[in-house]
Amino acid sequence: MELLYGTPIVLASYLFILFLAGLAVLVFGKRRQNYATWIIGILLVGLLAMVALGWSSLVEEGLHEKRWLTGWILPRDEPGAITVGVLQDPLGLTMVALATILSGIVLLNRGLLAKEPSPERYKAAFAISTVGVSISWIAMTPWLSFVGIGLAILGGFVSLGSRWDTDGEANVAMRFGWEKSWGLFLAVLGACILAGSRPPLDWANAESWAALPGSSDEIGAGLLAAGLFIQLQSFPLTGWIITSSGSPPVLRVVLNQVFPALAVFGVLIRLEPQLRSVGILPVFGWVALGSALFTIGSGFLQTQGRQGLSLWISAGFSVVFSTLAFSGQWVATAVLIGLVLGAAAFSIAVSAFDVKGPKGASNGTKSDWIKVACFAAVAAATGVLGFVSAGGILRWLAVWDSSALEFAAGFVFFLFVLHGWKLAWNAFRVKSISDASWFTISAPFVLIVLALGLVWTGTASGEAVFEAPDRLFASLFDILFGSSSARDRAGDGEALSSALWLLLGIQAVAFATAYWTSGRKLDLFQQAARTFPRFSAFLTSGYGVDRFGLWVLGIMRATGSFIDWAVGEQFAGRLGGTLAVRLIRNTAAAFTAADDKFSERLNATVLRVVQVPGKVFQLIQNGDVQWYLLFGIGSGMAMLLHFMRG
Amino acid sequence: MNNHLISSMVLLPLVGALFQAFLPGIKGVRSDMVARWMALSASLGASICGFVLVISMQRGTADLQAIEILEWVGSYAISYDMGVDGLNALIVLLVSIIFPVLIASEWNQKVGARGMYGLFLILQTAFFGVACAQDLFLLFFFWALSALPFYFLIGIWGGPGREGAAFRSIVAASIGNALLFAALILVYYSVDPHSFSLRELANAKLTGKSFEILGHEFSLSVVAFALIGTGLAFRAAIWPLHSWFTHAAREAPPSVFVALSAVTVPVAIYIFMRLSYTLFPESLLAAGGIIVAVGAINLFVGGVSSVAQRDLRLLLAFLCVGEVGFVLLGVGSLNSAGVVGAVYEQLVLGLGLAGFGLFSGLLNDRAGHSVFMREDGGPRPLGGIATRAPTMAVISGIFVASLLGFPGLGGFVGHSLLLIGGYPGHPLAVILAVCAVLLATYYLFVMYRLIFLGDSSVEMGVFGDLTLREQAYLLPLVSGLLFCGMYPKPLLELVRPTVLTLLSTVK
Repeated sequence: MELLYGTPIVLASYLFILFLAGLAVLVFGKRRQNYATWIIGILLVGLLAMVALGWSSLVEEGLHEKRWLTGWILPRDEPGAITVGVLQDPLGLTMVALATILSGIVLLNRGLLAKEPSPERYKAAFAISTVGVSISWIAMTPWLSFVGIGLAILGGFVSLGSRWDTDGEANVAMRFGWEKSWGLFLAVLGACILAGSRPPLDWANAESWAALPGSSDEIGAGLLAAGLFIQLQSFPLTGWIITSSGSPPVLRVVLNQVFPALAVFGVLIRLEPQLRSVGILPVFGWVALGSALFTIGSGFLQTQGRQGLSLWISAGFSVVFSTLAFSGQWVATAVLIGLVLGAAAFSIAVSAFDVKGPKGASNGTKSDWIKVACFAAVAAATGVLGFVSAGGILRWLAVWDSSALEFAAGFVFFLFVLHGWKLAWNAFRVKSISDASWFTISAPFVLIVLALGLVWTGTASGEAVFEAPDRLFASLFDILFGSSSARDRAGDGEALSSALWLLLGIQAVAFATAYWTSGRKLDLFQQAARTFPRFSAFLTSGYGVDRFGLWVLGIMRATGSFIDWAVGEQFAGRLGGTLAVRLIRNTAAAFTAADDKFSERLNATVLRVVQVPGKVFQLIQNGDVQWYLLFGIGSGMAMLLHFMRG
Repeated sequence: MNNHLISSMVLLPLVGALFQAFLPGIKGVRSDMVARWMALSASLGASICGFVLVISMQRGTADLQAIEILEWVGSYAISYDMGVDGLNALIVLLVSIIFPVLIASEWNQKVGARGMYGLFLILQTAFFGVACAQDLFLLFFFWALSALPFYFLIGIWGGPGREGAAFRSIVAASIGNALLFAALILVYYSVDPHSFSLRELANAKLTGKSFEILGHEFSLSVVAFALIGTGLAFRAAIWPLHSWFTHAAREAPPSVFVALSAVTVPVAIYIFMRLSYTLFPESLLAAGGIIVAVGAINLFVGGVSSVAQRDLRLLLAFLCVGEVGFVLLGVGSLNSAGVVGAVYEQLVLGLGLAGFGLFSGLLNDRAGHSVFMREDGGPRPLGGIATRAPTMAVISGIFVASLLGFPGLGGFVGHSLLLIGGYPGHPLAVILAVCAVLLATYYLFVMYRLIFLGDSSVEMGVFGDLTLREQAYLLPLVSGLLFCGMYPKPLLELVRPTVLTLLSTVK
């Protein structure tokens, strides 16, 4: 029994069952909605139980990770081998639990999703996406992670399917599909390039990642990181995000943004030491910051709240990528947890606004609590002191050597925080009366409590204060990243202190600026959008990337048509086909003519040759010649006799 | 040891074809029903032999297995020499899966059904024969045999322009076969005693041999290699020799085009690999870069041209051209991952193209056409099929996903191996491949959205989901792709030893 629940295989097998259940719900769930909910719900609870059992088995064995690795494509030890491996460790189990809790909380809020035309699709999507995220975090090799990311994408695509019988939603689904696929393909390509020159890629075998001289490691690692970054749907691939959708914000945010991003970070965070050894991370850190800047810029002027929210979340994931690049695994994990939980809480809260109360009702208590939830969610996501993300953001801000770099990073972070508070103040101004259940209204608070620093770091401030004088119990990060990480997390006192003041200043200024621009009667951002409509349209449409893309596509199409016309029709058809036929015909005609002439001449010559003897024989045959011959021969003989006598 | 499994596999469809031609009438039973079941039985019987053959193969060895040798024309050293190894095992599997599916897809054929089934059975015999032949003459015999049925299949059962398409296909095949035959004759006469046996020719080491024409000396291996490559390029629809292929895509019945794209093309590449790796390793080594370049060009042209298409059949044709380029990338890479990937991709590509091709046929049957975008930008002719035919939407999605190389499906395994093998030696070609794949990914999603998602098109009328029969014959293709994607190990263990042995002779 101990072996049964202790091995990584059991967890992987359970995930496979959950995946099959998701497929079954998708196929058969339309007429059995209640059964569908129960099946997925029970299996999610079961997954939590599996996580708990797995955790207890790890604790029993001194928290040593368990591994299972096998060759999948090519034998394990051959260069280029594609292997699959499952890693059961505290970090993976924790993230699996997080994804499961998130799925469960959203699924339990059936009131939010009551208007969805095909509820079985989003139920199946939650099952499939949870499996995808879980696989990504327990995978020991990139290849299995790609399967996990693929499943998370599939879950997002399926969730969009509840509305894709309309053209608008179909376009959203299409864009989501191909943009995600591009990222996945580039990541696979990068991994293939890395795999081509070394023994199997896996997290445990750190030596295998040492950069090989003269190899294409930088290109491979760069493509891998680029492909994974594209999955975060930050600038320039914000296409499907800014396309309008009728789905509740919680579905779009959780299934189409949070879960795919969680799956991606399952690879990135595991791979961080190896990517750093190859040397590509700082570059991508700056790329991520730049992308976040552009994404936020686009989000500020969006007229629809859900688009603004989605862009803010995408920008947040870019910031997390940047923290990973500059500050390492645990910082990124802390910021990621805060952002994921904060974003999910915010989306549940704004979705609750759509559950309208009866006309004339004056009780706005529920709406007020929703607004409080919105503010708390933004606080969790942006690293306000007391949340787990605060410690991570502080370490990230403290890492910069030069003030110019610190200013650049701080400015982008300021804009990110400003955008968050802007969204919160926009929600604050909503006047509708919500009739969501108290269960729905408390759900965001559950997530916000989970995002508290106390839960993860054992300190009230989220390890924001140097040497943690507010520590109440040991940090969970000691278990997730090893006790040696405590030294890394401690950081430099002076740098942390100045970063703390910077963080507090950013939060305060952003909060006040957001109130002044968006919290009062007039929204200055919308006013600016109306004053500069063309510039605003340029920003909100994603900086014209779509137009450029369509222009490139048009060129490709024209090139393809031209090649088809030139080679298929002209070269092979007219030139090759017609010319060849004409050549053959003309040659045949020439030969035929020559043959005819030759035959004619031959006939004439033969005729002439046989004509004389023929005429002679003819004369002989028709009788007259006989007598002439007789007389001639007779005359000749007479003359001969005469001369012989004489 | 002579094992008659290969002969059974090769001859059963031929017997079935003869039965179709001389089918006796059975009282009280419709002759078309008898013809259908007979054809399917013959095809399935041969396919079962094929499966048993591959499953019973020993893993971990590069030696030929299930060998059968009989003297045929002794005075010219032509023998009936058959065997199977890692290089042709997957082709045998491909043919075994596809032909019963094609016969089942034409179950309701009303016009000349017996003739059509007979021709498919002849094709199945021909392709099995090509795959297993170890004698060059025998190989050419079966290869040439595989060309003629297409002329009739396209010419009789095709669309309005069928005659032109049939003519083009037979002309292209004839030119290709002529070039191939010329090469085989050159090789035959280059060794003493003359021989067509691949094993003997491999040992004879053709490098360094030459021949004279009008006082000029030519290198045998270079000329023969070029002739073989060019000859097979015609039938493999390698750009720019592909125009007959696109015409066939337009005019041929979907099942016939599947036989062309999903079987003929992979088999042509298999023949090229068999002959070049076995007989001309030095020429192959020298021409590796050219092969990769041709592959890259095909990938680029296939990707760019596919984006310009508005008809599903033409889209499929150009996808095939592009994917062939991918396979050539692996063939020319000359390393184990790339070549194993090329062999594996032949099977996976065949299954994916077959599924996609049959899906276009099903669409054509129901909607009357397979155009998904108008040239003039008018309203969509198709749309919203996912709500009316969800099973069709899911299954065609699987085929599209496999062609794009999504994890968990066969295309992922093939593409990954090709990229791993191709990049170290030819990074530029791989980058071009990536651009083409990205383009194809985008366009296939557009195609899927225009056909399956969004508002239902008013032109479509009634549109039924897949019937039980249609699901039944698509199931083997889907299962094959899932198996190849999830558990490729058994097949790769068959292929690798042979590939490693062949590469050792090349390098």
